[in-house]
Amino acid sequence: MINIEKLRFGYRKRALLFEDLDLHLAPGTIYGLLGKNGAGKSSLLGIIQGLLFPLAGTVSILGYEARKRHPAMLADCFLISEELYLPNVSIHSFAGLYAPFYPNFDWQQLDRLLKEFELRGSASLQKISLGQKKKAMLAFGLATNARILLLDEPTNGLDIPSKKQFRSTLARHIREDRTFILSTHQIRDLQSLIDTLIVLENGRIIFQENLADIMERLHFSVGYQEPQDPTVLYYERVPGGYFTIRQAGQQESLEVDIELLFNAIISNPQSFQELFNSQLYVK
Amino acid sequence: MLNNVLNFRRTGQLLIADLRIAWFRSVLWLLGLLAFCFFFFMLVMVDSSFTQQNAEWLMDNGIAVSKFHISFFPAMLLISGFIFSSFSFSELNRPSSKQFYLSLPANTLEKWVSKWVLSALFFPLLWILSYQLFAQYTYQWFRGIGFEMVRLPLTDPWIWRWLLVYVLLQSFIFLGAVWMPKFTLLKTGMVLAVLVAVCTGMYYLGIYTVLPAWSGDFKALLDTAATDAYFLRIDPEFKAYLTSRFLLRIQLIFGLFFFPLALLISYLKLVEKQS
Repeated sequence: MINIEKLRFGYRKRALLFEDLDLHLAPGTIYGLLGKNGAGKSSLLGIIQGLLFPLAGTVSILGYEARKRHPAMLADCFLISEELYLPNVSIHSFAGLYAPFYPNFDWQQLDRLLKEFELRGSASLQKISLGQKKKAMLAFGLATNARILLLDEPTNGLDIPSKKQFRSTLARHIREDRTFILSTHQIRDLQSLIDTLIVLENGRIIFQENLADIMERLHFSVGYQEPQDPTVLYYERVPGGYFTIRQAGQQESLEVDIELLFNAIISNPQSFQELFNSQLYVK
Repeated sequence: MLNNVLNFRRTGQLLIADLRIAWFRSVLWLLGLLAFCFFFFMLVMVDSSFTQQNAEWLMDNGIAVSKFHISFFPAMLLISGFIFSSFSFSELNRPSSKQFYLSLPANTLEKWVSKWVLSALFFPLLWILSYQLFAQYTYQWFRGIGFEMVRLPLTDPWIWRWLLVYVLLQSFIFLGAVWMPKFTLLKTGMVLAVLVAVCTGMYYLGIYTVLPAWSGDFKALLDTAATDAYFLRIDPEFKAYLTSRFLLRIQLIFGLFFFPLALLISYLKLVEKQS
């Protein structure tokens, strides 16, 4: 669905953001794209959408070369960026103007989603709150039925009930032939949604594993004492004790804490790469 | 095949979206221009005491007044059209609108064609029609005081020749709008001024360095021609012939070289636009 090979990209040729980056994403999955500030998450989404051009390498989206921005590719790949473009028209007028570009656009679905988000179709896009704007664009994006949905910091500006609503809506709309990529800093908002975790660091993908495999390989626990045993991969002091990641053993693990895992991977990427690439580990 | 290269349904939809999003701004712009025309007209009339039906002034300036549109219409067409064209790619100004516009499922040619049609054809045609209102008003105004003014009918080929001139010249502003979406008019004007200065400089440098002997003869010839023209009074028919030849050449250079070149570069610049 998305195949990136040997990608080289930088805003300046001397300061590359990505060097020989490979990424292959399959349909039917919700990917969580994580990375520190400036790691290139938004740029990667831009490259996938054909908004930024690689210096070298291939970026193939649904069989199309991304940089050519083929209409058929763009109709099947929708980006909801962090900053939204919202002209001074109502939600329905906006959809009326731009829905014809998307052959699979479903008006009934749009109306259903707007109702779910408690938005009126006649509401002006410039007069609603930031959270409502995000919901309106999400409703439009989902109604396009694009097979690839790219979301850059989608929960920014959403209140707590809206975040929950956002998660459940997105979870309901994933299908066998669809891929969602969520780029975010607020990982706890989306933790329960993500199937596969991708970590970007220093211009490379340093970790790409699905949650089932992570659960199989790692053990998450909270203890009162500072962990000392050799199976400990990472620990963090939290109120009331230590949150620890170990290599999986016989004990029952807590749920995967993606934020903790992200910190662990960033602090010691090599040990996680070795662990997940070891021969004992069968994907 | 053509549908893959240029899909008319998508191009039309882009035009509709542009018109719908910018209709209020465009109507305001058009009304503002018309208001300026009326204001300017009244100013000229008041300034010349014409409103007092000064018969003497009428006798002295009647011909000039009847030709009011002949200079005013082209000036307004070019100025208003250039300003409108400079905003052709205003989406490319802000990151959010730029991302949205470049992500719209239409190919670059369709996006380019829709913008060109809007700024090079749709706007001037709308402006010509709007100007008719103004021309009709001035005609009636003068008629009320017993004076025949130019009516500027739409059937007059002169209007359509100016539309052609506008379309040719607008291509530079259109190119500027893609290349430099912020402060387009100012930046394009400066770039053109520099280009003209460089070309003129190179031309004279070429003449005076590569062909020094010829340049001397050429200068002498020019001086003689100027003196002759002043003293001998060149035949007006011959002068008109020379002028028409010169204008024809300028039009040919613009039409066959600069115009397609500017449009081609503007398309290529749009192809390589990134967010």
